[in-house]
Amino acid sequence: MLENFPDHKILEICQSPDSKNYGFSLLIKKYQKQVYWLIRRMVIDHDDADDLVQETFIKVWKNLETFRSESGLYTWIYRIAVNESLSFLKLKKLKYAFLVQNFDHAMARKIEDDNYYSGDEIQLKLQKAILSLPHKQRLVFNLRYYEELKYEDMSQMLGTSVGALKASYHIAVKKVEEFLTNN
Amino acid sequence: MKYKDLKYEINEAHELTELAPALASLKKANPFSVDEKYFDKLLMEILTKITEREKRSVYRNLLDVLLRPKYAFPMAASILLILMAIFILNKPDSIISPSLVDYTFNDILNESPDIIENMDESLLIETLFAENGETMIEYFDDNYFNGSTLTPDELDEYLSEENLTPELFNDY
Repeated sequence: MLENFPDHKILEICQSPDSKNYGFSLLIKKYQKQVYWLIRRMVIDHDDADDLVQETFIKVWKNLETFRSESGLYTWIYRIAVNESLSFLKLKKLKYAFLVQNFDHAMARKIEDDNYYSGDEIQLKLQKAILSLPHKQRLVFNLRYYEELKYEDMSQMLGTSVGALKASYHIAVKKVEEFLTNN
Repeated sequence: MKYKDLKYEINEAHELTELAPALASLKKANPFSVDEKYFDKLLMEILTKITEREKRSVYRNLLDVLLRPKYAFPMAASILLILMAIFILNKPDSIISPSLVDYTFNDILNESPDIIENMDESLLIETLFAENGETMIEYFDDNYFNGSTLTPDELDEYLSEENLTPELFNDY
């Protein structure tokens, strides 16, 4: 039901200092699942995803007063979540590089050991294929394939042209297809 | 569903089928799961974290303000001045007033010879001798021994009169 609650109403409630907390609670309730799954698909581990979701909403809270509604609320929240995820992955990859370990292999192993992973063999194969993509390509693939976002929305969210996003998705899909057929 | 959205979905499915048939044949499902109560608790966890950070940020903001050069330099200068004042006010008298070492033996003799009579002799001699040893020897030699020195016989005689044995002075 809350999914249908309009963003501009939430923002209106958030504008008033008396009802800011209530408005923010509505915002979290409306977007928490979408943000969580977006981040979880990127970082795989639940605990990491949990931290990043919390950080995302804390940033939303801090910047809520300065938010200009020219871009959609969800686009803005997604952009924060995406930036958090990419920064996290970059840092994690550096840490693994320092330990001379392969980050992508470690992520793949994490899926296999994850108690909260319920997919079958073919799904596991698909996840491994997605993990083999570079971070930004993986992000574009997830946003398009799982979130089913339009290129225009993704363009606004990521600050990349529609053409570049289409090309990126095209390449990502080809790589995933190749992985699925060859492995 | 609006016509525009329907058209978009058809295009999207078509795009995938053409591009990657193996991928298109897979059922689109979320293979990850999460504790069923996770989303019920998440709101409270976020709100608690925000409250904690806001409490912490009050102190941090204060610190940030105080560490700005505009405030930090005058504050550091004030602290330095206060410390210097405390140090000067608590300086021991012996350091502020001139010590015996600051005087030469001749100074005392010329300016106020009475001071010698009113002072602890051993302390006076010990202190002055350290700084003015040669002058003192000359002074006592000229004034009390008239330039003469004791012969070994005179010294033995003096020591035996005072019941002092020469061994007592070996250490000196």
